[in-house]
Amino acid sequence: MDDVFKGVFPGLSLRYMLTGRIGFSLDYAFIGFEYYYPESPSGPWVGPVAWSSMPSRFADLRGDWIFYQTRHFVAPQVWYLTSLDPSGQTASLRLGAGPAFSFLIPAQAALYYPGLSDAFEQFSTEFDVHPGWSFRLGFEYRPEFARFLRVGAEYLFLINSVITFASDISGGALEYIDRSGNFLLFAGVRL
Amino acid sequence: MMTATSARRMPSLLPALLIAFFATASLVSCEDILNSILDTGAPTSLKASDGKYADRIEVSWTAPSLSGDKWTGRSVDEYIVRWWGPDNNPDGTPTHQTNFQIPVSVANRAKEYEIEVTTVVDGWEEGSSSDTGFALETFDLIWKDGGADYEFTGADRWYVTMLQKGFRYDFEFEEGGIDRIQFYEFGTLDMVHEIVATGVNELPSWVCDENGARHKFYVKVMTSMPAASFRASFGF
Repeated sequence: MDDVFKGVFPGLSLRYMLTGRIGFSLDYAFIGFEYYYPESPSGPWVGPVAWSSMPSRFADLRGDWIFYQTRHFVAPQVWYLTSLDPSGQTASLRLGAGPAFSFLIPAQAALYYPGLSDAFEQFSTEFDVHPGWSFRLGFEYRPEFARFLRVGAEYLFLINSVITFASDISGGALEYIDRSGNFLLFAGVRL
Repeated sequence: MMTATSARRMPSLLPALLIAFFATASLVSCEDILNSILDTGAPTSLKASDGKYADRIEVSWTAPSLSGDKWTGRSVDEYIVRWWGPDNNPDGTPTHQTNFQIPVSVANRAKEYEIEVTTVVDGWEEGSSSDTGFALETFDLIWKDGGADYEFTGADRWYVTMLQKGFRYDFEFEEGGIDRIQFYEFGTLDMVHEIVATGVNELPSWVCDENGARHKFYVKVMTSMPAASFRASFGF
């Protein structure tokens, strides 16, 4: 299972359908905490790592750990939906595309621990933004018993840059797809 | 048709209204709520700076709305700012602004002031709000890998730093150089720990045991000598 689900992230999406087929959305996902630690009082600093990879001597300090950064994902998207069942219209194919931004927000502690900020440059700024692009293909289902509900799944593919996409994927297509692809499950309500 | 449209919009607005309410409620003090219920005309959202400035306390507030029936046709003349602390000003200083600076001398830094602002309407004092504040000169206490050296002149020096729970923080100094080291919760004058130097071959240290969101501290280093130097390092 770990090979398929490298991480599970909570998210929120607000979508507005301009017409029956064209819509816009703003998606946010909290990717999570990433941690850093000094190997010894004289350094070096190590990270980013998941808490499960932290040394055992710090195991009880997760809620009080001050050397971390949070990662966030924001993506404004344009959508095209086409019904898979013209008569009942209970399921739709959805295609999405748009810019995507990964935000790194480092904790304030590095201001007082220069070994950390010297080793990792994102701690020298208040936040770090990595722009890119996202492309999606999936389906959404509208149950007959609750027509305001939407459930579905999609494949989300992220690339750093359209210009460098060709060179990135030529360096190892499968590895690139594995690294940049994400599987999303979603559930929502129509207001 | 109009009714149906309105009915469908209500559920989408409700979460937004609830979020706005809770966000607003957390910003309102008990004193503001009481003043609002009693319709006193007191200034709201009064805030005095806590250690943000070395030479002053900055006070700011919001003008009262004066929206009740008893305020019809009346408006704020001025505000009277009073404070009590190392130097008192019980008679108060009038101002037409919604902010004020209380000058603080070097000797009165790190001493708490009680500040009260009273609204004057048509020549009458019509309610007041209060807060505490203090002035403080601080320096950053940096924990370099392997340690860092510090020196200062005078009786004491206040530092700002962040401490990791479970880490040991060492203060290495020459005998007689430092008398004691005190740790305060940042933004307050509430001491949470104190190290008292007791003799030779001692390395004053503290294994930080503060829980929760309390990671940022003032560290007050005190000496009885004209000047002091120490080396600060961390371990675990």
